[in-house]
Amino acid sequence: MRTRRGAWYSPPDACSGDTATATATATIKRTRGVAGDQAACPRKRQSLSSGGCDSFDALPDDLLICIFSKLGASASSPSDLIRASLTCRRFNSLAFHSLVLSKASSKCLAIGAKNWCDSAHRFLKLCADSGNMEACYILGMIRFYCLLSRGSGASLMAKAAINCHAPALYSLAVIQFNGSGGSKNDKDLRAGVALCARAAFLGHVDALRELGHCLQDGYGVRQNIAEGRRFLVQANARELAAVLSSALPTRSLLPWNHPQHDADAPRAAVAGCSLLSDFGCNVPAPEVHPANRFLSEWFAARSAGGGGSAGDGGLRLCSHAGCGRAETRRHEFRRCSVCGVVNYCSRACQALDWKLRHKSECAPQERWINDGDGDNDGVGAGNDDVMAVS
Amino acid sequence: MASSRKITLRSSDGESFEVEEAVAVESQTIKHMIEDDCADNAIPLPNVTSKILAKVIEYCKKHVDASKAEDRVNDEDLKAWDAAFIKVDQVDQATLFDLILAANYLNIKSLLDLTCQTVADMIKGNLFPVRNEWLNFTFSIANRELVLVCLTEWVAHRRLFCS
Repeated sequence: MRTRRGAWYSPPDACSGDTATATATATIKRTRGVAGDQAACPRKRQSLSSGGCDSFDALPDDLLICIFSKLGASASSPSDLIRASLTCRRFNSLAFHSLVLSKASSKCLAIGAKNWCDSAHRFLKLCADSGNMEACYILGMIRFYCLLSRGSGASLMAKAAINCHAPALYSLAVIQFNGSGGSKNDKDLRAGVALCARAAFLGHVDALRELGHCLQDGYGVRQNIAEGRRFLVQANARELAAVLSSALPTRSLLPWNHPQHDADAPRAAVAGCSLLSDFGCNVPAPEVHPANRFLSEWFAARSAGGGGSAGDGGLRLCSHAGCGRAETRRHEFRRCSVCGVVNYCSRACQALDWKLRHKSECAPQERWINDGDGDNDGVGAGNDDVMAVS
Repeated sequence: MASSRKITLRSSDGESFEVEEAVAVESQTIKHMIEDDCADNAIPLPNVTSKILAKVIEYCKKHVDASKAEDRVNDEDLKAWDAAFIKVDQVDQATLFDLILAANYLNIKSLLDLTCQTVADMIKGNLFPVRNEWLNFTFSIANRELVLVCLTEWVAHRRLFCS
């Protein structure tokens, strides 16, 4: 029993009624305390301040939960909330209250891939169980693509999708379009289009682009080129609106010149993103969702230098840097029809990457004679395996 | 009801404040009291001291005036005013917490949101020192993610057995 380190205990009176404590935890905490001591000894002891948490004693638990909900909703990284939970015993029992977790923002759940561990998994699961749709989505993506448990990943994403979470709807649409997790015959284009349409009507930019391309190509839906074009324009407009509303300096919207192939490096670096080149504006690339960032970091760590491959069995990654998805079977993703070097999980990724980066690099190369298609189609499977550049 | 009826509020230390009805009904508690016809004499507020009540009234007055003007420019001005209003109390944490309790008791949602968000930002900004020496060591780690790894483990074990 430790007398100095009061915080190792959680006597029943200190916690609020809903978080019951078990004395069994004391044994576990003692072993952890040893590890903590050894780490703490070399550090300079900081003086205890008399203010701080004591002033919170005046506030009842529900107000403290209210404060923590706002903290979680405005957090810029998970450590904001975690750190708050470590301030004192009472904070610790309340900071992980389900009401607080259900309001945590996506940045609060943005765990880095190199920090993935059982406890991070548990943390996300806690948030997902408390009704946080972002957590359901992020955990679903991680389980589906990284941990390879397709069923639970998809069901988590479905739970988020049912609650009108636009990125989850879009991810499920991509899974349906590609037949991820199954065979080539598990593709369901019409389901994909339906999910994509729902995400698009919630305003998701990638889904709008995807839907626009599907309409233009008659892919999974009756072809309607004008409608498709309308959706593509709307996607660009929404992206511009999002950037404008996030208070970026106006100098970034200068007219943009397409960087030349020759060594014009300083100007190209300044040009930033070519996202709205058809409108003549220079807009930075959209911010990457924590889930996609996790996937990119995960596969980057696992592919020991093999460019764009997920390491096992020659499965490729989507060449769009902001996407991070990996194939679930060989030749699932489709490649650029001009150069055949890059491949994409969806048309939206292809369109974005084309504008961001690939337009300047794409050059016709020797077409592969042996496609080496692992699936049943032979050489003539041109439509499925290559995508025309839009 | 007369449009500019005056309501008297009495704080816990006996001081009386006279405010217009429009300002008083910013507080849902007072609004319900008025609707239930308890407002003939002064409304007693035993949980709120005069110092805090003065500040609350100042806040409500400003917001009522701002909503009357209905000017777009006022949104940013109002936010700036709110920030300045609460900044004084950041230095004096006791007043800030008393404001939270008063806003909760009087049921003034916007003031409650403002004060809670302020405290949340203070917690984020590490303005509340840690009670325990061992926990202090975590704050000295520059790498935030290491904090997450170390300590989510600890917390998660606790929750695992709690739930």
